[in-house]
Amino acid sequence: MNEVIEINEKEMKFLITNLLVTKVLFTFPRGLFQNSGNAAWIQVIYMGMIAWLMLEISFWLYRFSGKRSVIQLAECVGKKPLKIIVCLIVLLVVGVHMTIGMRAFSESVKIILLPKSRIEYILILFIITVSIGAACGISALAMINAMFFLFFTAAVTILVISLVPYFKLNNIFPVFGTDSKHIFVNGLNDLSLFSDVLTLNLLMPYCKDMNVIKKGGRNAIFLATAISTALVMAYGLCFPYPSSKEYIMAAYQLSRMVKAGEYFQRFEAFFEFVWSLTQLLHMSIYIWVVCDIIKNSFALANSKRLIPCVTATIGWMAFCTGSIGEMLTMSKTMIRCTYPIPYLLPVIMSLLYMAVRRRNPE
Amino acid sequence: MVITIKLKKSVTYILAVFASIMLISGCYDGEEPDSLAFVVAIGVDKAEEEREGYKITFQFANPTQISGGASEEGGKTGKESIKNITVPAPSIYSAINQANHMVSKTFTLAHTKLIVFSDEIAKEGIDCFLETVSRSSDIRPNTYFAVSKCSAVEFLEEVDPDTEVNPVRYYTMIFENNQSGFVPKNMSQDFYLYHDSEEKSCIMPLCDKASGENTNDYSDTGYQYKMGNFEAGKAPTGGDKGIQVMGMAVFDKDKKISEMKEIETEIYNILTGEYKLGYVTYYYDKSPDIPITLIQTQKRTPKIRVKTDTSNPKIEIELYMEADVCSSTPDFSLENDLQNFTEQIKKELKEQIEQFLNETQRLNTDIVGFGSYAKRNFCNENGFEDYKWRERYSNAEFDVTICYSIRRTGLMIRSGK
Repeated sequence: MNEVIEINEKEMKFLITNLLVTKVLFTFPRGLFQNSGNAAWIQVIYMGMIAWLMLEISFWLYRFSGKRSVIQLAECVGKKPLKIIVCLIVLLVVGVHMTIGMRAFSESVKIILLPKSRIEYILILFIITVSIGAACGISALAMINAMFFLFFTAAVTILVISLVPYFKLNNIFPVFGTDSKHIFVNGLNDLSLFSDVLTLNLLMPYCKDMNVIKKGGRNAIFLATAISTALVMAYGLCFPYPSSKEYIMAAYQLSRMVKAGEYFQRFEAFFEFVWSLTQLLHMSIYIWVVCDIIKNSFALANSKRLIPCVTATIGWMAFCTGSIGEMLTMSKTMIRCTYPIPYLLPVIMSLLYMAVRRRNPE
Repeated sequence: MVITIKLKKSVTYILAVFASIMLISGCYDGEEPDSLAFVVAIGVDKAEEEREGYKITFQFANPTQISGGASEEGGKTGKESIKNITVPAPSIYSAINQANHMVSKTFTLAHTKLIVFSDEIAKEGIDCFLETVSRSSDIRPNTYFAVSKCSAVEFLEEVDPDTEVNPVRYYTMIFENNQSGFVPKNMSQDFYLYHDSEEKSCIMPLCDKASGENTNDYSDTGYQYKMGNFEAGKAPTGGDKGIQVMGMAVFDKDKKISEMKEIETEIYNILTGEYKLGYVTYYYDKSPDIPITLIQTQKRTPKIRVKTDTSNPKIEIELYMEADVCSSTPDFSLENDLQNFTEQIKKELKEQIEQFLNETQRLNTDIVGFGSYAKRNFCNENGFEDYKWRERYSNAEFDVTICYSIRRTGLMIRSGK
């Protein structure tokens, strides 16, 4: 039953870009603006550069490891115990992101689209949809995502261009926002924006060769940085500080401003459609990745049967916290504790692998 | 065996499709438009007793009249297209809750275009309403705020959209008209964004029901001096019915502190770059009794530079105005004297702008938003906060430069006698 999976460079690029960018559509920009003020766009570029640097370091260290994921490397280094430890660490990191994503999306839908529907109804629908998506497999998801992402990029471009009349250049001054220290030192706490790049490592075994991974990873970081910067900068140009740090969903707030003439004033309806599809693909990809990690770590025959359990568990975790405010505070703490792992894990594992290989070349 | 698997798959797909149709069709919490009462304007007055909170008036569209009902004549205009209901409540949404029990439809704010505050409420502060407007996903960011000189309920009752079938369009045409230079362009979202900021103070359009009295003082000099400088409700319109929107209320944070009349509002629009087009009347020194009307436009947004390296900020303003002659005097050829006439306009406009800026300094409110330009000189927010812009603004020095050109003379060029 195991499908033969091969992800090409274009699919990989858009897969990773989707994982990186989706957060910017939801609650993430608020944290950036709280930290850096309207210089959040500088922080995004800075974080993009750090993510790219870390990616290059891991590529350089990976030159002896081949296209093995961190979990496979852990197995080579420390056999099964280390493999399971690494698997649990990865599940923790990915789980935190998924939990936040699932809650943020369901709450956003409830606030904006379906205020009178019960949140349970929204969540169950969401769980069913992402489960079906994940069950289709990564090949189908990668293909659909590659097709959809062009549409997404076009939608973001249209949104930003339509906002140009509302841009006030003065809003992004003072250039360094709250302070340069906040951007370049405290801002490191927000590096989690690009932490989903770990998925690139987890999907390595499904790529043809290292070139696909390298090109896909670099392009994804570049594309995600460009899209995130455009959205964050557009928000900063439209909303002055300190009001800019108050809105939960920056991108939605922007889409509400767009109007063409007297009659076309509800651009957010179009935006909500794009936004929902992006999030559904995002979660489906992650559900598949989590199931695949569990399957490989525990040597299971099939990962499809895990999908409903994984989705339901994530859904249950997402609603452990009471209000959305509590969720945002808790997620901030959890992300700050876990964000270095996605960057450091590939580096540590490849170093350990190199050490083991040097000691035992066979 | 193969047939059984195929059958199983088909049944699963059919069930999935059926479940999707049933569950995702979007009717679960859908509401029919004819079960909703679309609020087009909200009025906020002070309640008679303090414990009652506010007197909130909802003006909602009367769908049976707008659509024309069963008649072939189409929708009706005027007062028949709207209805008002007033309830005492501590906030907008608690008022909606009460109103829902009085009218057979459910009130929705999705099409609200205007929120009017009575003068009394504006003076006390509107902070709690700003919070509601900004937090709600119902209320659009391009809803207008206005201050009514009479009570808000009186104002809304006087509204008579006799030129429009759609009452929302009536408010849109009044507040978003590109040729209404006497109305400041300020959406509710802008008010919320800047009401608590260091860099800019806020304004709101002033409105009133027409009183029929003319309290205007005509001055002998200055910009548009013989045209008068009216305030809402006091412009003579040949009757005492209807509403008037002109002039603006000046705010410090969320509290109204002063008012400005129509000419000051036009100057405000010019300085903020929101001025689009207006018919402006000048009196040339060589023919002081004959009005010369120009179609005045703003060629480009003003160039503003703020220097903060001295103790008193220095503000340089460059304005780019353009005009076409619309009507002139037959007694002499204005076309041959355009240079001098332009110089006179520049002088009058400059004087009026300086007068306006002095007034803002007297009130100590930077309503134009020069603070936003001052921010450019600082590296971070703390630096700007430490500069204490609001305190220094009243001592700022202005340097106004006006580039004015009269481009066209209509369909004729008078060659002179």
